This record gives sequence, C-alpha cells and structure tokens, in this order.
Amino acid sequence: MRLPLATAYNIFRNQLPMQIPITRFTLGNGLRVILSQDNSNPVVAINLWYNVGSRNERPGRTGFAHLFEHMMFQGSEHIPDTGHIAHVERAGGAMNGSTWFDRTNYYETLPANQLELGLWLESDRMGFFLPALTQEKLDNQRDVVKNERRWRVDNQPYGDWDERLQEMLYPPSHPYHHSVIGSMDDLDAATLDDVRDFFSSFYTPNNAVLTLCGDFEVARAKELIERYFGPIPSGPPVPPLPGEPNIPETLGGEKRLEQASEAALARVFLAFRIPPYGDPRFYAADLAAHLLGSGRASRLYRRLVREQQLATDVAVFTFPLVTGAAMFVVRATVRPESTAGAVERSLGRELLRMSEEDASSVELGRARTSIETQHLVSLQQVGQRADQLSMFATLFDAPELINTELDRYREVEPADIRSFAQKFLQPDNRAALVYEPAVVAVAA
Amino acid sequence: MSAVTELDRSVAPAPAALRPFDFPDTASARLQPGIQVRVAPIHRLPVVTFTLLLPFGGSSEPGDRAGLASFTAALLEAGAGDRNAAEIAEALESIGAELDVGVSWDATHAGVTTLSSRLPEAVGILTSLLREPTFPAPEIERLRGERTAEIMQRQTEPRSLAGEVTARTLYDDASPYGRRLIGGLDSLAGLTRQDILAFHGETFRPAGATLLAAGDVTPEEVTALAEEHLGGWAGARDAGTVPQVHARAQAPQITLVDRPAAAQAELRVAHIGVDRATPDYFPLTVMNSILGGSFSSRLNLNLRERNGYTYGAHSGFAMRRQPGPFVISAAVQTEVSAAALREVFAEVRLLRDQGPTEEELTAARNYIAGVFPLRLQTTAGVVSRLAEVALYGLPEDYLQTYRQRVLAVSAADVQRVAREQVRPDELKVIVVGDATTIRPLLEAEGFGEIEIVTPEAP
Repeated sequence: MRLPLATAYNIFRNQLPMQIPITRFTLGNGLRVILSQDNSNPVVAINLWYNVGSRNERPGRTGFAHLFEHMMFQGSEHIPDTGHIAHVERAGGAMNGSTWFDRTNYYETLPANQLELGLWLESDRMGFFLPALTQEKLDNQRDVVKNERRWRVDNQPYGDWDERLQEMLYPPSHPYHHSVIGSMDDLDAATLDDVRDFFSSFYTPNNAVLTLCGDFEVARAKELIERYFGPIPSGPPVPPLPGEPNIPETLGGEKRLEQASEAALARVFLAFRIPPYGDPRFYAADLAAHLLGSGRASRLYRRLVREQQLATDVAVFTFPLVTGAAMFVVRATVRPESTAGAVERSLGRELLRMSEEDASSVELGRARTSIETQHLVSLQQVGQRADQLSMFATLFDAPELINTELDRYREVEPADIRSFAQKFLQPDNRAALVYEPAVVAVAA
Repeated sequence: MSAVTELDRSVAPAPAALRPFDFPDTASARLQPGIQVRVAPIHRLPVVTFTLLLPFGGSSEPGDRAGLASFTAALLEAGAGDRNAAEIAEALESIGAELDVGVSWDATHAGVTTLSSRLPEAVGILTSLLREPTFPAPEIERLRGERTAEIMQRQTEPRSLAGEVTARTLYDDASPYGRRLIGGLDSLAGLTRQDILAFHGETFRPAGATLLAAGDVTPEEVTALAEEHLGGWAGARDAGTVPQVHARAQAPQITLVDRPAAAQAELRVAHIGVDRATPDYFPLTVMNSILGGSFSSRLNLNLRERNGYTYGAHSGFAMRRQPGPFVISAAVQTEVSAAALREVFAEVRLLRDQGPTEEELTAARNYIAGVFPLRLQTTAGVVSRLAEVALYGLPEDYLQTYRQRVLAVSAADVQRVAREQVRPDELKVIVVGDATTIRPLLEAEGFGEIEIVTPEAP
C-alpha cells in the first residue's frame, strides 16, 4: 500500500516540497490533536507533548520535571504501578518518555489494532493520575532518578559538561541555568505536594498536544480521542515561567572554567548563546554548525582531526531551545600528544574564519543536501514523524512546519551565516569549558 | 456506535482486528563473481540502503594482529581510487549519502543510505572504497594515534571497562572474543601498512559476499548497478582457520575493578552463552525477555521498580558464530552492590526452578512478535535483518515465519532453556567501583573468591 505518502514520494522526486498529511482539531477542553494517516505499515504512533520542562522548575526543585515524568509510569487510577508499560509491551508495542528544557514527551508505537489501548493508557494518566499517587512510589522513583544521575553524570567522564555550560551561558535567574537532571539535594527535597501541584498546574489538556501517526482511519481516531480525552476537565491557565527568560542576545564577555577530570584525554567545549529556535538566525546557526562539525567533510574534522591531528574527534551542534536564547556547542577531544590550548587556538581560528569569509555555494549546497536527506530518512519512522508534529504544534502552534521547515534552511544565504558568526561566534559570547586529565593514564 | 455507551475505564479496551503484517517481499539473484544479492523493494519514501556484507570480521584476524579487521575497514574512507579522504567525504555529502562501515566479530559491512535518485553515484563511491582503497601512510598513523587514545580513554569509562573485563574473564587469551575489536596497545603499535594491504587483499573478495538493498529501488536496478561496479571483481577468500573460543580455565568468582570514590558500581554477571545457530534461538529470546530483556522483566522490576537500586537492569545473549557471552548488567548505587547481586542470583534461580507464569509468557511472546515490524520501518533496519539471515545461513522463510515461531514458544521451553543456558554456578561477577566500600559488602554476602584489579591497558 502506498496511500498518503505516495504523494510525498512522487512530489519529492520532482524536488518539490514533500507533504506529510495533517488533520488538526482541538477538543473542548483545549487539547490540541494532530492526525497524520499513513496506512503503509500496520503500526500506529501515539505521541503527547506536555508544554512543561526543566524551565518550569522553581528554585530548589531542579530535576523535578524529570522526576515527575518517572511518576507518570507509576500507574493511575485504573492502571496499576508500572502498568502502562506492561500493557504496551504485552500488546506488542514499545513505550517511553523524555524530559527536556522546554517540554516533556510520552510516546508509544503499537500494532495498529491496539490504538484504543494506547489512548486509554494516555488518557488515564492525563485525567486520573492523582488517585494512584503514593509516598512509596515517589521514594522509589527518587532513588531510580538519583541512580540515573549517577549513571549519566556523576560516574561518567565529562558527565557534567551540560550543567557547567548552562551555568555559564545563562544567568541564575534564567530557566535554563540548571540542568534537566537536577541536583541530588533538590531531588531529595521533592514532596508529594510538589507532585500534586505540578500535575495540576501543567498536566492539563490545555497544556498538551496529542499526535497520532500511522495506520488508522481519521474518523474513527477522532471518535476514540473524543471518547477518551474529551471528558477530562480543562485546567487553569498555566503559570508563567519562573525567573527572567529575557536575556541579552550575547554574553558580553568570555566565561571560562577549567576542571580536573578522571578521563584519560583532555576535552574542550566552546559554547555560545544564540538566537532561539524559530528565529531565522537559528537556521543560519544550524548551518554554521553543520559546516563546522558535521561529518568528515566538515571544517573542524578536516583541520583538527585529519590534518593537524590535534583532536581525536570533534562535534558541533545546536540545542533547539525556544526560551530567550538557544545554545551552540563545539566539542573536541584532545589527542594525548597534543594540548587543550593548541586545540582551543585551532578551533578559534576556524570560528574566526566563519565570520571573515563567506562559505562557498558548493560547501553550503553540500550541507543543505545532507540536512534534507537526514530529515527524510528520519521521517521513515512513524514515531519520529509524530514527535516532530507534536514539537511544531507545541513550540510554534504550526504542525505544518514539518513540511516546510527545510525551506528555512534553503533561504539562508552565505552572508547570513557570516553575519551570524560575526555577532555570535565571538570570544565575548563564549563559555569555554576545559577538562584536563587529573592523572596520566597507564599506557602498557 | 460505541461512543454512546458509558466509558468503563477500569477495563483495558479489547484490540481491534489484527492487521496483517508481511515482511517485504525480497528478490534474490546471484552475480557473476559469486555475490549473492537480496533486494527488498519498498517504495514508501525515495530512500535506499545499499550494503555489501563480507563474511569475515575480528575473528578472522591473526591473534598477534588484534584490531586489524577493524583498522582496515576504518581506513577505507581514507583514500580510494583517485580520491583522497577529503574528496571522498565531500563526494558523499554532496549527494546526501550516509556511509556506514562496521566490523563485528563475524562480519564486515560497508553500505550507504541515500536518496534513490543519487544511488548510482553513491554505489560508485562505495565500490571504489571496497575495491581500490589506497591506505595512505599518514592516515594509518592518524588512525593508530586515535585508536591508541581510545584504548586509554576506555580505561576511564566504567561501562567500557566493565565490558572489557567481562570479556577477558570469560574467554582465554587465545580466544578472539576475549580481546577488543579495536585491538590492544601492543598489537596496534605493530600493525604495518603491509599487514593492512595483505588483509584487504585476502578478505575483500566477492566470493561469499552478499549485496543487500532495501527501499525505493528495483531488483533490476540493483543488479545493473552491481554488474557495472562490481563486474570484474574476482577472487575467493582463503577460508583460513578461525580460532576457536575457549573459556578461561581459572577465572576468579568475583573480579572487582577498583575505581576509588566512584559514584556508582557497574555490575556484570556473565558466562559464555550460545552461538547463533542454536536450535533454541526462539525459546532463549522469550526467556531472556522475561528475565531481563524488557522493561517489565523480572530483573528490571526487582532492581529498579521494587528496590530503586538502579536506573535499569538488563540481560542478553550475544549470539555469534561461536558462543558469545550471556551478560546481566546494571549500574547500582555503591552501597547496594552486594544486595543487588543477591537479587540477581535469586531471580535467576527462581526462573530456573519455577519457570514463567502464563501471563509473563504471553506478554513476552506478544512483545517480541509485536516490536518486530517496528524495526523494519527504515531501509537500514530491513537491511540489517536481511544481513542476519545471510550471515548466519538462516532459513529462507526466517523473516516471514519469525512472529509465528516466537508465538509458539511454550512455558516448558522457557524453563528448559533457563535451566540449560543460565547456570548460576558458572556465572562470574565483575564489579567496577570503589573497592574499599564494596569489598566488605561482598565478603559479608559470601559470594566467593574476590580478585581486586586496577584499570590499566593490557
């Protein structure tokens, strides 16, 4: 079968914009719904974005949005502890959730005939979460999350890099000043009342987007969504962000942290404050990141890894964040016979070149082609498509951006990248984080 | 319509009628030089994955040249034909082609995923890499330096370290599976360009190779591209002798790798498992899903959801040409290291003694059968399944009958393979963590002989 995507396929071959089909509507309680039918595989992805993330945490409660996400898998009024995942696995599906700066998502991919099961599970925790809450569950998941932090951060070489960069790039009053995983002390301090308040404030239909992508019929899906989610009452207006989200576009001075590390190799991070995701300059930033550090044709790989052999690896990436300012990160791991200083100087020269010369049309064309192909390859999976639709609906109230976002990259001119670099990829907008090995590793 | 009836949320909704799922039809052919071709045409999006699979990997390298297979494959993109490394990277990026080269113990693969309109150019570059790599001396030195650094780095990463120590604990020094795929500091230092040229010459040969393609392409297009770019490629690989793997004769019951003041303890509980040809593949897969292969598994529900000891506990069989390791793993809070191990052994014994419940069995079978199609949504996912069939000589109808065979596993099968293939008396324990705190805990628990080692590159 080649139903709706057959259109996309034929159009794309002719280099015209691709079209993912979109049906959207809003329930009476404010829940925004996106449907994208594709009957080519008998699977369906259900994806919910709640418009709440670590940015919504109040002081003293860092890590709470993520701890709360764990609690959403601990059952609800009609579903026992860990029953959500058990139901999905037993039905032949896969389920998870994740917490990020701006949002928290919950998603499952199921055999198409189990769509109703997924809607039942998601609606039960949106509408009937609090009756199942216990202190015992909170204490258990607090332990799990503390072990997650040890696993990801504390017991991992360079594991705290994002915490350190966020502290330098965003002032203490900004919602991105602290990490998503949060601090051990704040995790210890979380109470059942915090869980109740958070749920009542943020886990409301009017603060969520529900996307279905895959093998279903639109009319039947609408009926089921109305049936399961329609009766959930709307919540109060969502509380404003804590702190001060509006900050100057640039740092106004270099920040620097050198840290001893148990890793065998030194590692250098250079991070920059950049315009938020959605700003036209963000796409110039993303293209600059691609030119600098994506793949083996990129400038930094060629220069630092292949030619100068100062680094074992390099990476450059943006964080697509929407609150005040996003992040641009350059990372390089230092070869044992080189030094962090030499790597940093070489990175500095390449960044400077970005603001001195226009990228050639050939180089820019390669980057665009590569971004376009990666976009298409990622859309093969219904789960990915659903997540992107939820993202565009949540962040910009415009799910159709899934079909047009590539145009934003096509509109970027070499001069746009240069002027981006001239303003943002500068030493006075830079946070440098250098990990130096504390001990020399035993070799032999 | 049902919408007018009262909604009873206390009961899980019944599934609708099952919609059929068929593995994409595949076409097979044999090319002149002896290459087997398998193509799964899937015309949903204009994307193709095109991969050449060669039936040799780390196990085929001489014991004193550890890392040679992986080193050779990594250098394919360092120069080929009249292109240098930068030109290869640019040529691939300019057509949006993603190169994927990998080496396992059993196989080497090199493939591209790209837009179907760019496939001919991508295949031209890919086959140039395979057939006419130049192995420039400066690139060899660059990679040698990077690999040396990586080996040093792994000694400071608890998860890599736990994996390496586990392999060395289970297998003896002559067994490939006890080594690192990227080799050791000594073997890396000794690799010469001559070794690389010889290994490439002997092993990158069409006989025994399989060409796999999935996506927006026809079998005729694949065959035509193969004939254009692989025609005239000749030679058979000298089968050589692949060293047999053997268990280490005298491994300590517990190996405690000391990382003073580590924030957590990485636990591994392991013994040698089974090879991929095992007739018990399906019962083992279901058994493992119940033990530690899914979120709802016994190990995860116990260690994570009941006790909060860890972010996650897992188990798995690495099935290769020869028996690979069976490993249970979890990263736990230091103070509960011994308690967590006690729970691991208790769960293993319980499953062996009592078998699964009917509910667990049904859930595990449905889970494995149900998620099977999810991994076939991408062209790369389809190719990796086809590669598994080709590499291990699985039956022609393997992918078509996979789900039925999973669903046919019985409770008795699960208990039998648990008893036969998870043997508590043979399980070795590897702990990477703060020995000062952990050692007394283990001694109090009476787990047996403890050997304390410090991380270092062997």
